[in-house]
Amino acid sequence: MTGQATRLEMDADPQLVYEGFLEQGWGDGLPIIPPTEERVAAMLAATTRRPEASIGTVPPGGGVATVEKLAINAVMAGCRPEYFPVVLAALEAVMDRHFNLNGVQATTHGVTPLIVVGGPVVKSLDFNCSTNVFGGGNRANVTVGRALRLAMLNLGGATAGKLDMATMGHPGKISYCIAENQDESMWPPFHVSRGLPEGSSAVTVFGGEGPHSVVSNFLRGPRILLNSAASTMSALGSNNMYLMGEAMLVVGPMFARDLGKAGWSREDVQEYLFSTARKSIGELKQAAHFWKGSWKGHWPDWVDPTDDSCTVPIVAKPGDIHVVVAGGEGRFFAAIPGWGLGGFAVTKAIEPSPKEEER
Amino acid sequence: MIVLHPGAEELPSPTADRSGGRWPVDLTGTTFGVVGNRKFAFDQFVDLVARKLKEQTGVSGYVRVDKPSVAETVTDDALAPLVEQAHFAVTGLGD
Repeated sequence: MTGQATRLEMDADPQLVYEGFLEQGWGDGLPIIPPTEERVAAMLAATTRRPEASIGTVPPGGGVATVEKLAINAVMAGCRPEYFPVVLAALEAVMDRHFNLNGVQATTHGVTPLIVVGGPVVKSLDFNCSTNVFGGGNRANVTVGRALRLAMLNLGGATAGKLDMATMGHPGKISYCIAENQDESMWPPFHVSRGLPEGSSAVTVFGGEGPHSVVSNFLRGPRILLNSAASTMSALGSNNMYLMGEAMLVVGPMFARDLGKAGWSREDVQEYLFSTARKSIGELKQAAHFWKGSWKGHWPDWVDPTDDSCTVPIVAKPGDIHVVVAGGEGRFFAAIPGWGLGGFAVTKAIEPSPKEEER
Repeated sequence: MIVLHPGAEELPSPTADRSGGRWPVDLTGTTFGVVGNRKFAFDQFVDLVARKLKEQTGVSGYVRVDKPSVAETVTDDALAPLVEQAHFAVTGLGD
């Protein structure tokens, strides 16, 4: 299969290719795998889509993401060809209008897409869904997350200080990909709760800050357990407090089992967090961002900003708190605040590779 | 070694000067463009910048278009007056 990307002649030394790419403004600063024709062809063989087919234009820069261009970036990231359908689904997900990739890429906030992989591909492609799930060390997680990020940089033009104006950013803007630990969950898979069929594989992208650690224990039941998470999620400095949007709680397997055995569903957790992850107007008045009606157009109508005792939730409705089971054994959650103005979760099915279709 | 171009070939290089040599050296008689991004302090800020530019540099014109909301991009159609009239523009304000 051949596409339309320009072929460039470069020195055979991979370090010189890496440095040459950096001079052109391509990449994330880390070393890359040179995208040779052979490697890109192998990547393209993992999809039935034509190399020249367009997935769309990647904002804010507006570069056209063809299947071939995405394959080139996946090679650079270090992906195995089998991962390519996951990368395709992730890019399509962030380019869904609901996600508002233009805003996510350009904002001063540190938001970036977190990819949550679910379904049979978690095992078949050896994604890490367990210990150190947000950390490095697993090729599938790290390279799939990096491939999406490279496409956002190289095709979307989100270069820091030019079109990416994040004041701080966070390390997830290099790679941010986890997988769901379904074996340890008593709830339906996350993507199934979002409408996809049982047995399917999917990615969900969610625009989030970095993961905030929450320590807790189950000794006194579900409510006490979740209170720590609710407190972290409703910090005065969180964008969610002023802009709502969406937030995510990643539940470690110990707590997932505890909650499940106590008869709590995912929806019960969402409802409880919605009712407890709050700040009163009186508390919000002590924060600098409670300023000149910064909440207008964001808070639900029932919130009365003149009543100090009125409590403000972090999102407008319980379903906007996403609950995912992932991670290893231990007494921790990870709370991931959202941006508030975009990065809204989008779920896309992962297409079977040509080899899988043959079976 | 032959490698494939990973970027947006239809767009200028990320490291290129995208001004196309259009940076005005003398602002006298030029038109200042603004894309209002609906941030809270934007109106105050841009009014101050426009006044200072007129007072100190001789800028004579001012054209403004607004984004639909703080998080949504402005459309090409909405941008047309600014593209046609402005010599330079402020296209956003971070907070």
